[in-house]
Amino acid sequence: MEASIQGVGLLGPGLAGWPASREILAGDRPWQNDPVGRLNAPGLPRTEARRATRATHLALSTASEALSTAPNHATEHLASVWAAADSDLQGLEKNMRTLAEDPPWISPHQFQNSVHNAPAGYWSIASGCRGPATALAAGEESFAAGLVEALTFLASGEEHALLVAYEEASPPLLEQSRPLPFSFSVALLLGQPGQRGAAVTLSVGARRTPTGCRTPELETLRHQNPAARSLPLLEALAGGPAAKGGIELSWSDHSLNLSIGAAP
Amino acid sequence: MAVKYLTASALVTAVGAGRDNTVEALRNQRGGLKPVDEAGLTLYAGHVEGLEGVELAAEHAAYDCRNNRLAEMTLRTDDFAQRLEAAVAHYGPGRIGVFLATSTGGMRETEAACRALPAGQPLPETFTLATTHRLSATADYLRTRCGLRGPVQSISTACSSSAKALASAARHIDAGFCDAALVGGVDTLCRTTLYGFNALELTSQGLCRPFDPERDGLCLGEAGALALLEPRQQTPDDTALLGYGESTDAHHLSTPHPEGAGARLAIRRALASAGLGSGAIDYINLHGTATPLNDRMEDQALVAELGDHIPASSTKGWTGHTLGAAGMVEALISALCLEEGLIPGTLNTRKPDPELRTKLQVEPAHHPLRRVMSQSFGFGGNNCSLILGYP
Repeated sequence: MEASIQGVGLLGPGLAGWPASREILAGDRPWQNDPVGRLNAPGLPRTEARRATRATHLALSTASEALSTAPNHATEHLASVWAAADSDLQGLEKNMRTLAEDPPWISPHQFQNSVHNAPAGYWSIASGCRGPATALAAGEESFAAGLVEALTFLASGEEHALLVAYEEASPPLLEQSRPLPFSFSVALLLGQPGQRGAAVTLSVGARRTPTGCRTPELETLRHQNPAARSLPLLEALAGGPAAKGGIELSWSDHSLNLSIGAAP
Repeated sequence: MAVKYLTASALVTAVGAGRDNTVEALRNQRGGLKPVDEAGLTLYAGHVEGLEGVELAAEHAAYDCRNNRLAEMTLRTDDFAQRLEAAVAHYGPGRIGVFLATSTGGMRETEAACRALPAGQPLPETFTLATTHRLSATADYLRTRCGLRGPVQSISTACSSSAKALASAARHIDAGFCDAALVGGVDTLCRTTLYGFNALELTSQGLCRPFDPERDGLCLGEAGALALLEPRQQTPDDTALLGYGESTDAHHLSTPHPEGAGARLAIRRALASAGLGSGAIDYINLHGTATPLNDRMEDQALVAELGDHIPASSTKGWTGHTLGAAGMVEALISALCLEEGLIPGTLNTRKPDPELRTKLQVEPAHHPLRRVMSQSFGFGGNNCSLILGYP
């Protein structure tokens, strides 16, 4: 299956946006462990921006970066996929602490923010987009599952599909049962093959060892957050030395093989 | 989309387990809502009896939680596990995907574990967050339990989750990522949803009364609904998924668009996906939560897109609003209606709201049906319409 990658958004430790991260991912500049940069979710009305959680701001920041290169008409009915294993553990901690009180009065905003599709909902408000939005979870393989879901939207005739994979860091309550030392989010604007952007070819094969990152620091990040499983693909997009035989990404009992070609 | 068939199914709701119990309850107006007390808050809800006694196999002990017990109970209903085994033998385990929807996962156990913690202490490393709490835990349980090796994902878009799981499964089959799919929705009652909907003032003080002028909110419920989705029918009576339509509202996180703009788009997309006109629909299974705003919005969307002459009813008076499971529960109820030629009534509703124009079916009726539309609208303005029936 083929598609084009027309826009990228990225936020992680030492990875502050796609333009600033390209040189690091291509191996031309060393990675530094800087905290995740400023979140920027343009278009959210002020009330909604105040109500939304940090996880939502994180996901929306990368979504809007990926779309910043897209023509305006791409957003009105754009299909989107929001992939996260645990999504917003900070929000979960807050809710669990509230519900352990007597009486357990959770607030309306706390509750509405707890749904897995909260970022998708806020994004729809911010962008005015009424296209289909799927929020999914597939554990450590959430990025791979999200990528496949986005490709099925393209295969079913959607012109574009936006994929956002994100994960908020663990709060104290959950750092032992689910260690997630940092936040990470990646967004890809995918389009039909043969359009502008990098060409990507995907095939499904037997389970193989997943492709790692070229630098040890990024390889450590890859293991520590499900959304960072995207890093080898981002390295290839950034234009460093190409991985032989494409990138292997674990997906269920199979591997997705991704190869990146030049723009047409 | 290419037509897919529901070749096996299993349904467990507050009215009981299995096809016969469900049809009997629908015919005889026997509902499943009862008062449920949760930490001093008493609400009518659809509680599934007998989950306390369900045991998972010893090797799956890490998955033990109410949500996965309900998944297990559903697997054991109407020979579903055996039907699935036959499909695994036919397609091979690597070609059957799992598309499981839930909004709660094992939230109930996480809530209890957090209540038991000394102040300020973290949940211990031994807490089974990944196999119980996580949204993917029930999908992983079913996959492990049934020996499936195809794609696996959990869809969680609040109250449209499991309707969208059907759409996602159909897309994966069409794109060649799997040949058949185990599709379902499993949701269980927990404090987060009971207190959360109560905080939003969306819960009823008594029984939910969809489309009634005196409706005052929804009743929650828990349910497990599973189906095997295949590209070919196994018997001439198998109900088909003919089309689906998905959309978002771009309006508000927990309030539907007042004129149902997103719902209208989902309905139009479903008709286009099935290649049908609005005249082809014989019965509408409403989202019909009985909140004042949902029912008004839904009425406007339906009348605008489908007219006011198609019989419609909400079955939430039987099951409660089963959130992440609701889409599949109502898809399977729609399939039963098609098979039985049954148009359910709207339980607990005394008369249709005169301000709403939808042709509400208050009492059950018998009428041959060929195509049914089922509606699911969720938080985040997330909508999905399904069309089920015979091609």
